Order: sequence, then structure tokens, then C-alpha cells
Amino acid sequence: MRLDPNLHKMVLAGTTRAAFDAAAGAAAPLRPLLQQEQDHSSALWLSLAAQDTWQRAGHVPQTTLAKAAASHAVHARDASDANDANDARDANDARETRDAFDGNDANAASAGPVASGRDTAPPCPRAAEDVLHMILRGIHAELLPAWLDLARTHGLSLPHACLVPLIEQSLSRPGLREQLAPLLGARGRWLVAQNPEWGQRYDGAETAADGLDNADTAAAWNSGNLQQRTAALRRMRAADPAAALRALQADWPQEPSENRIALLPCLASGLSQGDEAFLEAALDDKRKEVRSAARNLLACLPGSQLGERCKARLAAATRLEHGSFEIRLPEACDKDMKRDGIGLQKPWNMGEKAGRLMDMAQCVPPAWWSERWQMEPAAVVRLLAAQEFSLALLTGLCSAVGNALRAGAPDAVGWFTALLAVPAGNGLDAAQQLLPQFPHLPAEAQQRILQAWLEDESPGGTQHAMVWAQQAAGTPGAKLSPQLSLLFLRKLQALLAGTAEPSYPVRGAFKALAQLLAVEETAYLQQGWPTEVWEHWPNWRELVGEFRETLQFRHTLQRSFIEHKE
Amino acid sequence: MTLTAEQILALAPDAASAKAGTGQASLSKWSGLGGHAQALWGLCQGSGKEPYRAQIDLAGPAFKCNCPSRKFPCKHGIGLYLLYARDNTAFAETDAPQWVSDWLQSRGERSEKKAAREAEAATPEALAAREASQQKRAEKRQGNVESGLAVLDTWLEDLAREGLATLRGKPSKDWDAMAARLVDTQAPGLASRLRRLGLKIYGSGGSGWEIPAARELGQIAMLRQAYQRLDTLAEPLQHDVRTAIGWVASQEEALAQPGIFDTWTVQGSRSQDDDRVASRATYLRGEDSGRWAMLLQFSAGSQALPPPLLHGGSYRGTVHFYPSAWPLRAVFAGDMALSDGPPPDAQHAAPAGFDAHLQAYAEALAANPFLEAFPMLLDAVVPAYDPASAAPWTLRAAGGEALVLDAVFRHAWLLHALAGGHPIRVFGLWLGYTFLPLAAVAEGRTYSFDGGHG
Repeated sequence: MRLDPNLHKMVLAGTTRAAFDAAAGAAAPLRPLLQQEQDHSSALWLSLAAQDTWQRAGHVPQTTLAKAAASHAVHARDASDANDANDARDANDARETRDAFDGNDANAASAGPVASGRDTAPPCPRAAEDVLHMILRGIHAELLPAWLDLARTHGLSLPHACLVPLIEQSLSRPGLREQLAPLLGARGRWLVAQNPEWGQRYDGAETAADGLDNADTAAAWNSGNLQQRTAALRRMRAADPAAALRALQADWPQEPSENRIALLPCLASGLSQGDEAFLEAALDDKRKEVRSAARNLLACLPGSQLGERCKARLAAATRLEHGSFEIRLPEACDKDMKRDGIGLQKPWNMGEKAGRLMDMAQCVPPAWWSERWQMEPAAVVRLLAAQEFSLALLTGLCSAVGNALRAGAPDAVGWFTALLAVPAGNGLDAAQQLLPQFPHLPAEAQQRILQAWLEDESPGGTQHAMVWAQQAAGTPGAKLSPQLSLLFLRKLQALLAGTAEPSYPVRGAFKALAQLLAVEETAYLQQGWPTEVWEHWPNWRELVGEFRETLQFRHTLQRSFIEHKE
Repeated sequence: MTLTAEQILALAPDAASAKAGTGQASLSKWSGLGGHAQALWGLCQGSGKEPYRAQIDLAGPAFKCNCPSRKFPCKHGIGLYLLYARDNTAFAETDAPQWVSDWLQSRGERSEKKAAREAEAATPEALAAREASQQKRAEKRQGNVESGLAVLDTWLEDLAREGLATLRGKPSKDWDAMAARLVDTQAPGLASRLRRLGLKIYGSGGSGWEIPAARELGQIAMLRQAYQRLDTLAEPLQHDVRTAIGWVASQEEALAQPGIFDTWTVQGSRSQDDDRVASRATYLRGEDSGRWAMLLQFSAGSQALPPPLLHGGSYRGTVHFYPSAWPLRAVFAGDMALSDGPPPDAQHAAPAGFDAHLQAYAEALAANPFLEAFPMLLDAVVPAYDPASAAPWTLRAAGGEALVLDAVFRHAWLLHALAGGHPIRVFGLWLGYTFLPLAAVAEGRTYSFDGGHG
């Protein structure tokens, strides 16, 4: 309602304090009527009511300048094109254009006349949408990543009605955001761009799945913020590692340290000898974080000069003669060693000199040990484990094995199993250090190792398997074969049969496996449980009930993507 | 007609029941599942020895279960229906067992008995006796209301003299005392408006509150004046004034009006919680007559509202309107039935602007100036967001005209996501200056924005 200023004043100050005119601001046809009621005890309110009704009956909708807004959007598009065309090497120049672009973009979004494009992926089945609605209502909310992963593998688009709750939940959960970003589709990306708060969070997220072409990536690299540029560099690296390196090298001298710290680790994918010279140079950077990132990358590069230098140092420090192993701790840490990051970390559980030993071992490929002494990995591990400085040597070796695994070295699996066989103790827990690398093992090896653990009667195997389960439950897409699922279930049931009530770790195992067991077929899940007459059943009933319910829901979830309801 | 899981979950009395219901929607929990065109049933193993017998009359839908839960419908009913929606092949098409057919029969008998009771109550003697006692009660109430309104007069006068600027400095209980007085004097309609207004004034710290507050006070004063001059008003408008003051029109009165037979499609609903009474207004549109009808459902205390009508669903039968200068509130006659098949996809011509709608509103307002909410079905409008504007959300027509969305609308981003900047059909209420969307149709599907279940 529009209120006449005089009437507004009367309303606020009261008729005793402001000169009262019942017809103030009224339209001409209303005036005589209202003047007639001037002396009515409720004249102020009645005048308001009459004017309100009058205005409502004659309401004229506002008109928007749709055309002006549209031209604004076109202008913004032009600006971004200009960015592409420019050789925006000069950082200052780029920053200016970037600011101009951001400003215009915000205007275009606020005018909102640009409609969203069509989703290229087909919509998900109604059954799957129904399941998503339940998950978003909080029913098995923990299965949201699993739902999104299925949508991704089936190549389906998200239901539009679920976009808002999904985006809102993802604002405080970066992991979910990362998973959601490539699934947003044309409609989702359009929606995110409409809301400045959302757009900010999704800035630089991986939206490569559809629609982002090389020009977009180049624009993001040249004129995006740090987050956008990091994502762009990753995409460039995936498409053409050498070109990505050239782009980074070209900008490197002007990049502030913060940018260097964020950008350098992007080289991890597609790492090759071609990167070595650049990384070697980065070992002289003035920031510790940059040096450390360069060293980690070089350690992953088989045959790198860093590796060779560390090999020489280790060769000097260790000797095996006639079956006896000798260690000469590196007494001094010279300039070259410091440059290679030796002594950079100061672990709390070993001495300074032992720490140097560990730093060297980290940068040497595990194959070096077996080639040097013509020994199987298991024999090398046994030999090192028997030494006084086993903690330093094996910790370093674990880390080197992790690098070898990620680089896909063929002998890495052998080292992995050999190290896991070392019992925890003396401050070393190889399992804890290596299990995070498990997903980097070849699928067949993963399967084999898990199976060996589960068939192992000793508690160690079960323990490793359960730690693996806890870890895998948090990763979208992790799943078990029907065969392993059955083995896991039997282990779980054996755990249950031996104890009066569930302990905290057992609860964790139930929870994790509810996310992992295969559910294509569910009959096997019904078998092998104790009967109602078991004396401890009341302690377990709820936990087992929840476990089975979750698996049943996952079964429904999985089927909902393939079944078509009419 | 099969409901979707979302529609079934909307039937649950609260979120906890919805969650428990999905837990029951698993084949492993059920035995003896069966169904026919009229009903579904099954046995659900609970914690007791005997399984619970859950059954659903699909026509309602109405639920029955012999579990001890006080929730209605209980989780077994919800679970059974969800299971059916998910996997209807599990339901053998058979004759109903005794316990199901008994219930269906007793439901049928109850409605017959009700009809018989109504027939009995319609004998001349019964009518005369009732009229006499009603007359007496009405006279007494009349007196009560008059005395309450006299106090309201003085209160409004004082308020006008002192102005609204100092209002927030005074304790809110003075305001509530006036509302309580109106309740005591049997004018609950005005009382609840006054209380709601009080919440707005004292409940928020923002500025710019005084214009809507003054507007509402004006409306209250206008109603009061209309009541004083009730005899001078046309008879239909008298009903509107009395209803707004707080008289409850009886259903019989509505059923006595001539009915309109049509296919009524549910366009949307609006649930509101007012103190201890929850209500839901469901808006239907007659496909042939083009008339609007509004059904009101109530629940008191902690009870849940009765199950809502299905959004997008069609009902075929007769509707009777409560007497009004612009009849809107209505009841279903006994012949109303859920219509099979998809609702008629009426192709309403998409106008370039809102002229016709606003013209219709002006005419309705001319008939009943006390009309608060006017149903509008807007075809081909584009939701738009402009964060720089004081009213950021609008609905735009092809010609560039825009209606501002009401500030209480909480699902603007959902509406935006559904439309994606393309024209869609939106149903909602025109509140005089702003529009409150209640439902939208995008790509052939109806989405409801009624709160209730978040």
C-alpha cells in the first residue's frame, strides 16, 4: 500500500499531534466521501481502509525493463569474449579485465532475464527421485553421496525440485559440493549463478562434465580467482600435461607465493620427466611450502635427480656385508641436503639424525633396495625391520611405497603386502600409514588382499579389513564384490557371536559395512544371524536391525535407477 | 490413481512418522499383502506376537491399523502405501479378507447412518426446536459481540489519537488484552486478526512495519463499521461480515445452497497455524464452470490436520458454496469422488499480462470488499530474482508486467529452479499487493509449496 506522506505522519504521530485530514492523499472520487466522515471517531482508520481498498481494486503491475537487462547480459558476454581473445599475460591487465568481467556478470545475473539451457543428460527415473526426496528429508541422509554417485554412473540429470536443498546442503560440505558440481547440469549451473552466495561457493568448482570447453578453461586460467585458476590448471593438466606446464611456467615469475603453493600440487596428475627441470628449480623457492610441494612431486617421479642424490646418500649411510647390516647416520646436513628437503620435517618420535635417514628413504623408489641387494621386497623389509633405526627406515619406505603405488610401479603391490606384514610396534604402524594408499592398488590386487585378510584366522587380518571398511565407507563409489561381501558378513557375524554386547569399534564396523556390502541381491543378508532365543540378542537387535534396514534401503536405492515405474 | 512417494509422505502427520513409515516400506516386514480397486491391506510384523493389520481405503485415502500408535495415519499405513507405490506387483489382486471387508462395509454403513441422522434431524418438529434454541443463543451472542466491539471502538480511537510511533514502547500484553477481550466476547475472527497483527508488530525489530499495521487496523475498523450497519448491507455480504467477525457458518447452510456439478481440480493449498488451531485451505477449480472453490479443514490442539486432497488430483461431483457476496468457501456433496485418469489438461490461453486477473480481482473486491485472498492461476509466468530490489522476487508475464511475490513465501528458490527462467504455470493467492504462490506446474507435474512438512 502506498501511504500519502500526510496520512503516514498522522498514523505515526496520532491525530492529536498532527493536523488531521481524513481525505489526505485520497483519489478525487473518494474525497467527498471521506470528508463526510471527518468527524467519525474512527475516521483515520476508515480513511486508510477506503484508500487501501481503492488501491487494491486499481492495482497496476510494475513493468520491468526486460530489454535493458538483456542488453546488459550481452555486454557481459562480449567482455568475456574479449578476455579470451586477449593475450592476458600481463597480470595487472588480467586483473583489471577480471574485475570488469565480475562486475558485469553480477549485473547480468541480477537482471535474470537469461533462461537456463536444457539439461543434456536424461532425467533420473521417478523411483530414484522419490528415494532422493526421502534422503533429503533425512531418511538415510548418509546415503546422499551414494545416490549422487549412481546418478553420475548412469549419466542422469538431477530432478529440478531437488536442486535447492542439494545446493544448500552442499554449502557447508565441500566434499558434497565437489560431487555435486559436475552433476548440476545446465539448470543447476544456471541456478547457482542466480544466487550470489551460491555462485561464490561454486566458483572454480569442477564443472567440466558438460559445457565447459577449452575457451572457458583458458578464460578461468587467465582471469579467474585462485580457486578458479587451480581448477582450470587441473583441467588443462588432464587434457595436455605439457601445455599445462608451459602455462604455469609462463606465469610463475609473477605468481605470489600463495598462488604458487596452491598451483604447484596440480602437477601431480600427468607427472613426467618433462616436469623435472621446473620442479628442480622450484626446490630453490624462498617459501618452505613451495619447496616441500616440489620435493613431494619429485619423489613420485621415478629416476628423478632428487632420487639419484638420495640414493647416493643412502648408499653411503647403509651397508650390507656378509649378512651384517651397518648404518652410519648422516652426521652433518649440508646445503645440498637441505635443498633436497632433508631435515625439513622434524618428527617427534625419532632423533634428528634418524629423521634425515627417513627423509632420504622417502625420495628413493623401493625398487632400489631390492636391486641393490638382489632381494625380494619381503626380505628387504625383514632386514630393515631388524635394525636399530627401523622406525626411520620403514617410515620412509612406507612413504616411498605410497609414491610408487600412485605412480603405478609394477612392484608396488609386493612392497605393500610386505610392509603390512610388519607387526605394529616401536612407534611404527605400517598399516595406518599404508591403508590410505589402498585405493591406488590395482583393482585385482585390492580384491586379493582383502580376501586374504578376511580368510586369515588371526585377528590382524580382520582388523585390517575393518580399518579398510571404515575408510572406504566415506568414499563415494566404493563397493564390494558379492564374494567379498559374503566374507565380510560372516566376519561380522563371527564378531557378534563372540561378544555379549556391541563395543564401539564393532558398531563402527556395522555402520561402515552397511554402506559397502553388495546389495544387488539381498537373500544372503538374511542368513547366518543368531536366533531370537540367543541370550544376548536384545543387546544386538537394534544394531542388526538398523544394519539390515540400511542395506535394504540401499537395495531400493540401487534398483530405483534401473527400474521403470509406469 | 496411484500416489507418488512424496504425496504419500505428505499424508504423514509429522516428519518422524514419515521416516518411520519408510522404514516399514520393506517387503521383509510384510506378509499377506493384497489389494483390489478399492483397498490395500497387509500384515506387518511389529514387536508384538501378532502382526498388525494395516489397511487403506484408496478412495479417501483412509487408513486403519490395529497397532497402538496414536499417530494417524500410523507408520504401518504409510509404509504399506509406500510399498505399494514402490512395488505394486507384491500386492496380490484378491478378494479382501474378512477384517478388510468388515471395515469397508462399516465405513459404508457409517456414511449411510449419517445420512439417516440428517434425514431425522430434518423433520419439522426437530427443525423448529432447534431453531428456537438457536435463536436464543444467537441473541445472547449478539449482545456479547456488541459489548466487545464497543471496547474495540474506544481502543481504536485511542490508537488513532496517540499514533503508532509509540506502540512498540508499550508492553505487548496490553495489545493481547484487547485480543483476549474479543475472544471472551465471542468475536474470534477479529481476535485472531488482532493477535496476528500484534505478533507482526512486536515480533520483529525491522522498520517499515507501520504501513501494513495501519492497513490491517483499517480493515478491522472497516469490518467493525460494517457490522454496525449490518442491516443496510445486502444479504450475501452480511454473511461475509459475520464470518469475518467470527460467526461460524454451518455446513447445512452451505448444503442448502444450489450445488454446482463439475470436475474440480486441486490447484493448491495453504496451511496455517493460528495459536492452537491449525487450518488448511485447499483451492479447487471447476474445469467447466471456471469457478473457484475453497475447502477448509481444521484441527485443534496437537492433532494433525486430516489428510490433504491430492495436489493435481481431480474430483468429480457437486460443490455447495457457503453463502457469500463472492462465494469461495465450499463443501463437497456426497456424490464427490476422486476422478480416475489424469486431470484434464486445460489449455488456458496465456495472456500477455495480468489485466484479466486483476480485473476479476477488482470485481470480486467490489462484491466483497473484505476479501483477503483471491485465487489466481497464472499461465506462462517467469519467476525472476533481482537481489538489488526491495522486493527481489517477481513473476513476469511475456509483456514485461510483473507481480511481486509476498515476503512470507519461503520457496522462491525452488520455484526458480523449477522454472529455470522459462514460463511456467503458477497457482497462488493474490493478497492485494503481492502474490503468494501455492503450487506450480512444470513439465506436466504439479509441485506444492504448502509448508507443513518443510
